[in-house]
Amino acid sequence: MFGLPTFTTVVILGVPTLWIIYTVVFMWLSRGWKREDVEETP
Amino acid sequence: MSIEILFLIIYFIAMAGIGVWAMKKGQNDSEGFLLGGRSIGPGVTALRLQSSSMSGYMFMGAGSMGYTQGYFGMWYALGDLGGGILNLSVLGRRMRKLSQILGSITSIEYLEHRYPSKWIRLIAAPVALFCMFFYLLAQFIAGGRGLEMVTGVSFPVALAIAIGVIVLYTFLGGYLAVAYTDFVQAIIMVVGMVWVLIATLIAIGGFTKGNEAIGAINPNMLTMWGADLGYQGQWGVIIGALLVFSIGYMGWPHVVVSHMAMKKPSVARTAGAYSLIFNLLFIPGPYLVGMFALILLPNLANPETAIFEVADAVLPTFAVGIVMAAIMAAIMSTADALLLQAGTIASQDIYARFINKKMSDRQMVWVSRITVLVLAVIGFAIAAFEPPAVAAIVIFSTTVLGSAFVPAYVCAVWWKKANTVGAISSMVAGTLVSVLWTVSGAPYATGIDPMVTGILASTVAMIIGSLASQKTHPVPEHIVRALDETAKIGPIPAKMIMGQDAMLASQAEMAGRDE
Repeated sequence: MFGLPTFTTVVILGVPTLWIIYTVVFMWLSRGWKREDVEETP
Repeated sequence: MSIEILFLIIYFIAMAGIGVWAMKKGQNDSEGFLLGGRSIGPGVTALRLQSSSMSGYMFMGAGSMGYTQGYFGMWYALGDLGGGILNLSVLGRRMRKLSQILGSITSIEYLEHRYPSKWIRLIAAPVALFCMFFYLLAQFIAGGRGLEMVTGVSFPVALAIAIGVIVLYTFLGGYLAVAYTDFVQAIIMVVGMVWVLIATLIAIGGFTKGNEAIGAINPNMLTMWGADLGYQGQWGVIIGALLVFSIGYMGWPHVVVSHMAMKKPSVARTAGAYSLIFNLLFIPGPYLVGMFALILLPNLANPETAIFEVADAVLPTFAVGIVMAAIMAAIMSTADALLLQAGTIASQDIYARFINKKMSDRQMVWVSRITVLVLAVIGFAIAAFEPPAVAAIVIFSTTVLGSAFVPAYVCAVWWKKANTVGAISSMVAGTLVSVLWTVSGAPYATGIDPMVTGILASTVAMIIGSLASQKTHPVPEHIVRALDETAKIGPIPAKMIMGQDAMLASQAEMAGRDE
């Protein structure tokens, strides 16, 4: 694909995909962080 | 006057203008000057973190790597892509919260508050200052070279102009000026890079045709193993390449200070997503353009000029001015962050901590400004009369920074048993191993990058040092309480904020007595 060897294609597409998945999982796990967006409690 | 020079003048005036605006907007106390009053939102946090992490290396070194090694350079890019999201997801929220609870306003002071001992600052401040000054020096030289190339003025004059603009807005507005100029510069970097990448792909007939043309010149360039397959099986080098720009950033004091300046801890969440988008748009470009330069300009005398030369060949004249501004933006956004942080360490972490403890906030701001000026003058003197090699300084200083500080910052918020002995052992081991591994020539003999050995040494030292000294140096109770609060998702109780908790408020004195 793209005129590249298979291993190169897998690496240059695979690693960014992993970072995207990491980000999506992080966004999901941190969805409750908005609870901190209030003034400090006494 | 050429269009490139006109663009640069507009760009320099705009950056100085932002500095003046930030000076009027900012607070004049030390938290206002050093952390922008902890008022930074997700967009500025993300782009400030990314642009200060990516120096002139991205336009010069990355282009050169693509030109000389083909797709092998992508190992660095692939690690780099996740550097921002990793930093913000691992450290962001917790470091913002803990730094506020402990009342820390510099990233080195934060380490001393978390691991209470004056020795933490006595070791961390000189190591950070030393590495950051040389990293800064490399940015000064790169800025001077870039300006010299475009304007044709002599190197010392170009250097003086580049340093002068950086110092002006850092001097005027402190962190706020640096954060907002970095934000604008990150946008200029993306626009410039995407523009030159698209124009390059059009000029070579598209991505697939470009790869086929590269394959016809040297098929090895299309592999992940280098132009002569020299890196095939060299996993020590490849893992180092992936690590240096991914987890390495978590140890750079001028980068992690972004977490402390966030408006709220939850800013890290949105900023993480923004940083990934920025990285996906920006990072692959320099490596790909550098590689495709082989098709357009096969006989370049200096591969470090590949991106500029390609821009000159494929873009209209006015767009070349934007690309040149983008190159200067990459250099200046790193240089200003380094300059401010180095000034902070010298004034706040060394002078105010050990020499004059009774300084007022206003005096501290002025000491920081004067330090910035002194560092700039020393930097100019060294760079103008005996400029060292840029790439070597950048790689060496960033490797030592990452090796020395990554476990200290990560364990500070994630491991309750991490104590002062562990942190000191980690910083010393990381610094010594990365320096000795490099100067002894071990990377060439073993094929293992100093980043790998440095991080391993500092991590092992942190674990062994902390576990072995739990009885003699337990983590203080007030730190354990602060860490418990940091781990919770919820607002910080007012009684936990520095100044309102007697135990936390007196921690500096306690640290002094501990010694």
